[in-house]
Order: sequence, then C-alpha cells, then structure tokens
Amino acid sequence: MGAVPLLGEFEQIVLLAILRLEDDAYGVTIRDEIAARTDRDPSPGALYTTLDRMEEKGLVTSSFGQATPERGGRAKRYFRVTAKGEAAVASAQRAYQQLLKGLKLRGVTNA
Amino acid sequence: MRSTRVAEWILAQVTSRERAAAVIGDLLEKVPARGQLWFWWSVVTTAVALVWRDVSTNPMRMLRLGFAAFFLQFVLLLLVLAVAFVAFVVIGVLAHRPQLMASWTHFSTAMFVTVWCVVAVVQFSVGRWLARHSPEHELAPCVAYSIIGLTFSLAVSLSFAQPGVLQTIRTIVSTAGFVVWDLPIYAGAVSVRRKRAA
Repeated sequence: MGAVPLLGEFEQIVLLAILRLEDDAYGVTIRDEIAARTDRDPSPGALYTTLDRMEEKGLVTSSFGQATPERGGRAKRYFRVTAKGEAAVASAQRAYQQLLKGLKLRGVTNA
Repeated sequence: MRSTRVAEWILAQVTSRERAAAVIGDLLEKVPARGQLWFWWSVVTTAVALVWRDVSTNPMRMLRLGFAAFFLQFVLLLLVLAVAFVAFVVIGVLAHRPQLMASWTHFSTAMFVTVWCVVAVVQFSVGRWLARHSPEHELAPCVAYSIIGLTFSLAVSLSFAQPGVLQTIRTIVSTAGFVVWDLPIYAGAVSVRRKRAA
C-alpha cells in the first residue's frame, strides 16, 4: 500500500458513518447516520460529491443494489470502505488523539 | 412520475445515468418527510455541486477551454457578421429601387431574426466543440466559459458604472442577458453528451 492519503474533516465523518453502517451504507442512511451522530445535516450535493471524490481516490467502492418501489423503481448505490480508506481514517484519528493528549477540553472526556 | 424523470435527466447531464437514478431514489425516500420543494432544491444543488466538482478538479484546463471557446466564437461571429453586412449592403442597394421600397422593413426584420438565429447556431456549435474536448465532463468547460463571460461582463459594467439604483438594475439585466446568451452553448454540450450516452 502507498502513502496514506490525507483526509478532510467531512471525508472522515463520511468514512466513519459508512464503517458504522457496514452493509447498509447508501445515500439516505449515510446522511441519517451523520445527522444522528453529529447534529449536522449535510446537503445531498456535498455528500455525493464527497462520495464520488473518495471513490476516485480509492477510499470507498460502490455497487448498485435492488430497485425498490418507494424509490420509484431506482436502485440503491451501496458504499464500502476499502483497506486504503480504513488506513486513512485510522491515521487521521491517531493524529487527532495525539493532538488531544494532555489537553483539557470542556465536554471531551478522553482528552 | 414525469417530474422525477425530468429531475433524473438533469442529474444525468453531470453524472452517469445509474448514479443519477440512485441519487433521485435517495431523494424520493425523503420526500414524504421533507416535501417537493426540498426535493427540487436538492436536485438543483446536487447538480451544481457535481458540475462544480468537475470544474474545480482541473480548473486550468477548464479555463483554457473556456478562453479557446471565446476565441472560436469571436472568429465565427466575425465571419457571420461579415456575411450579414455584405448581404445588407447588396439588398440595401436593391431596396432603393421604388418597387422594392415597401418590402424594406420586412426585409430588415427578417435579417435581424436571421442574424440572431445564426448567432444561436454559432453558440450551439461552440458548445458542441467544448463538449467534444471534455469527454465525461461535457458541461464543466461550458461553466468555465460562463464564468469568464460573467466576470468580463461585470468588470465592464462596473468600470463604466455611475452610482445609483438604475445602474445596479442595468448590471443585473446585462448579467441575466449573459446567462440567456449562453443557453445554446449548454444545449450544444447536452446534445454531444446524449450522443455519447446512446
């Protein structure tokens, strides 16, 4: 594996949401997971451009599922985090942990 | 539903058909909770975000294409206007014959309409040229072209601007005019994309 790519904040959030959702990660569930865990409501445009960019960088892969009636007969596009994506998010989180070490931040228990 | 097909067509201009369908499916799942207005707002903002990503991924190439399109359009329009001018002169001389005087007004109107149609055809061809030079991202160079045009138009308007509400309205109208002026370019790019998809 080559150098671990640097991730933006939103990319990390999306990757973590996909990892949490495991086999059920598609546009709607990813947005819902982000909204539930971070109190942010990302715009669909921001989410889909980020997902496309991460797929081009090899951080996630996507595949199409079955079409369903509530979606007007349209298939879901499921996402999975690749080994490269997992390494990138782990590296970014390690860097955060190192920076947080010894800091006393209000509302952060493990700082 | 016809309206969702329109929405899917809009998104299919800036991403693959399968991805466009998946995005529309995602948005449809949320319509009962969020409503139609949210659906259309999301379609438009997603399309804008996707096309802007295409522009920002390779901005220098897109700007080069945009400037090249301006040059191409300038040359083509000069040719068309030269032909129109010669036609005006020739017919104008003929029109001074008494029997043709009555038809002069109709003729000048017809020429005016013809010139505008030819300008639209030139714009359409420039759009096709841009799209052929940017496979898979056909609309991105058109956006770069529009940005260059709008920047130029605003710069010219503001350099000659007198302070006041009237001037502001004039600037807004001229900017809006530029957007309408660019529509045949986008139509040309869409026609190339449709051909490629088929």
